[in-house]
Amino acid sequence: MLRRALFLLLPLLIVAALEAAYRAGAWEIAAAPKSHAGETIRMKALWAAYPEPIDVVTLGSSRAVYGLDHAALAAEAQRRGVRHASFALAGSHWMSVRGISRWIEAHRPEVRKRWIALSIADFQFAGNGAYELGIVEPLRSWSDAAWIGEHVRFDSHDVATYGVYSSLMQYRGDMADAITHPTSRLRDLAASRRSPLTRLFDGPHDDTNACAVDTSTLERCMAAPETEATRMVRGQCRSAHASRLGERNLLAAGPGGSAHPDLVAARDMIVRELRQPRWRGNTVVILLPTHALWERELTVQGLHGWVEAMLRPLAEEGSIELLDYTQRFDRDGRSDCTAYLDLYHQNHASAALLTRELLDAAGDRLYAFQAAKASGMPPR
Amino acid sequence: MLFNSWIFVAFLVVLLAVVAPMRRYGTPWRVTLLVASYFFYAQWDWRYCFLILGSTIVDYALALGIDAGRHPRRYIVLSVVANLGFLGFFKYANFLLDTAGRVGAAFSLPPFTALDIVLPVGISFFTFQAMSYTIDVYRKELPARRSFLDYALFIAFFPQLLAGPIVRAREFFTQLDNPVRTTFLEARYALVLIALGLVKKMVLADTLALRFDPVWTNAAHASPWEALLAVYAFAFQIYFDFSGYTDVAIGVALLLGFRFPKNFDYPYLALSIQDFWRRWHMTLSRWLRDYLYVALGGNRHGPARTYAALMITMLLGGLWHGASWNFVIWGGLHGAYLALERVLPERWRSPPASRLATALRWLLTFNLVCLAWIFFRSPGLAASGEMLAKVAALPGALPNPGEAARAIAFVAVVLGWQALARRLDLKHAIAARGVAWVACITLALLALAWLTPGKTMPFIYFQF
Repeated sequence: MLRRALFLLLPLLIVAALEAAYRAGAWEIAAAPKSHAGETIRMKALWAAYPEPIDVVTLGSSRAVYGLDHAALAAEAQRRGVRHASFALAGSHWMSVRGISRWIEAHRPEVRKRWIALSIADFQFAGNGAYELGIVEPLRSWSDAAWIGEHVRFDSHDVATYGVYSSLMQYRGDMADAITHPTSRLRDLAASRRSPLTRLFDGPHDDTNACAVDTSTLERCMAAPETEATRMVRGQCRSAHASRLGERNLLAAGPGGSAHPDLVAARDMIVRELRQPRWRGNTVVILLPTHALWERELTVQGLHGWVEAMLRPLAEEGSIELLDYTQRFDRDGRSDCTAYLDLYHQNHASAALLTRELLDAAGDRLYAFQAAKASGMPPR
Repeated sequence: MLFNSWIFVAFLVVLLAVVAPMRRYGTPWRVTLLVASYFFYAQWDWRYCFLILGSTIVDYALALGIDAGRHPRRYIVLSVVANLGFLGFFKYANFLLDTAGRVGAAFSLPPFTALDIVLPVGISFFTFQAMSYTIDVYRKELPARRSFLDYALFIAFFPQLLAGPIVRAREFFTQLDNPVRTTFLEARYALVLIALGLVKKMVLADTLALRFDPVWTNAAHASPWEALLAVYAFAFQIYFDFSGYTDVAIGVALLLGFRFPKNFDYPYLALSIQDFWRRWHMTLSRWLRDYLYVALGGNRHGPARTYAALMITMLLGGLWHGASWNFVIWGGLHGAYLALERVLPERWRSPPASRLATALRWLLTFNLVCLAWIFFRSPGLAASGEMLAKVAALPGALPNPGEAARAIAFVAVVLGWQALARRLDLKHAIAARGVAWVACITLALLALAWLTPGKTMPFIYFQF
């Protein structure tokens, strides 16, 4: 009887074994190189393989990838006798910050300082949607579903959220693509082996600008005639408009005119992360320049003040160093189109300028290290 | 509660765990299954449990009346009227009002206001089961069931409640009265049916639906080749959807100790329309044959009556699917096909002598079935017309070797697989071999994890 029951359970046991293998990283060798998980896998490999100690890490989304001059940061760090590398990944949000920080704690414990470079728009939510699960998947451990679930709520009706608990499910898009297009997957993997990612100490160099489109208002941006030069920004305006927050006054949408519970929950989670004992006093938060259109028409109204109110006390208590460059490229309420390559990102010239400015203004503080506040792995 | 949902998996596991230690076929076992069946139905809308209960009480009492021998004809008429009344009110009232309104408009009469009626899911199925029971009792093919519990379980038994297979009372009660335990091999077979049924539905049918639904909703903008591909795709979508559901239903019933009749037998391998109807939705075909076609005289009263009986049976069979002229036309087309087949000379109806003749016969049958699917799938008559026009424009359309190759390859691969599966009796073969069984179930689980489109679509036949 027991043998028969075990036999009937065998397929489930095999699937459970596969789940364990995937969680342990068995699929990483074949994951799509250009997927979110693939980017993380390649970055993780670079970090794991780098032979010298690294002292400072930059975390953040594509805004950080484009908005800072990583080569200049690496050079400045080297001048000061330390090593500064990037772990910024497109799509990263607070879940990725948490996941990468944990991975670094476990695998590169010599890292002493983290810079978190995001925009004020990233303070509205606890996560960047279910696809951020792909970014953290290759960095996960066996028992972190609970904190990941704080960023992406599991919904049994939404398969995209099954990745909170299951690595097999997290890779389902990747597997479907590999099964249906095996030859192109093999080609992509071969290509990525030929030209591996070299982004530890550098970033992209893009010197285009967003001046082909009038971005003074969303309406005008969306109404721009479609040409090769306008396509990117115009498309971003349209898609941002489509996904615009339905309730822009969320800061007064909760009971009694308080902030909306989702905003409060995101704030509490961010504050908790920024007070992590392992990084306390060794976390720099850089609010990257954000196109004026975002705060004026797309994000929660008064978001900048909300973020400042969240971060200032943390700076004053010494948990973080705060550098706010949100309006660095604005004048009279309008953003300088020559500084942006699109609605989200700065071009390389403005990234270099900003990096020079922040190093000049606060270089000593940014590369100063506080003694660790707690030993061992911090509680989560 | 859908078969393709987590809540159903949990429900089934709990139910199997609860009923396993019970003495099979005893009263507590039957009560548990009945309660589980009503719980299953209540997940959709608990208020309609009373409709099933009402229908059950009425037919149970009328069958006892028929069996008592006094005025059986009166009772059977009452039963048929009651069942068709239920069905007519919930399913056809608005259709009739709309049609009457259109006719009235020709005489400048004001239109009728549509009633706010929700169609109870599964009503077409459990009503037909109830009718078959009272008719069988009336025909003295079956004694009326004294146990209300048994009869209520027959009507509400959850594996077949929502979309069949339409089980006959004799088949069900025989199994209740002569219990045969599910063997280990049968359990393995049942799990193969469930796993492959879910793959058919969630991987194949849902993927086809998401890919081709836009073509059906906007046929005017489709190219003739796209339209053709969409028609072929729907033929397989509805097959995977409905036969997938049936496989799960049969598998679940088998795990609970019931052997349900087959509902599909590789219908697209049919070599004639009559052959198709022996393989497609077999329990409905059987019902229509035994209770409608035969009642209308069948083939006992000469060719004219036979054709009329065929036509009426198929028209009503079409209307059974839904209150729409599209379904009537679909049924009418099949009725016409069947009648035409009977007109053909004997040599055209006998098994083809050569491979070429077999291939041509299959090609014609398959395409005639697909032609009828256009009416079944289109959202209205105008949309059917658009789709037909697109397909008809194919000979004059620019050659599109890519789309043509895809259409042919798609049909060839699916049908080749079907032919192979039929020849090897694949599901039984898999269940019989340990390694094959483990591999099959594991691959099915992985396919469900990785290859579903991510959006759960309802079963097509739930709307009927």
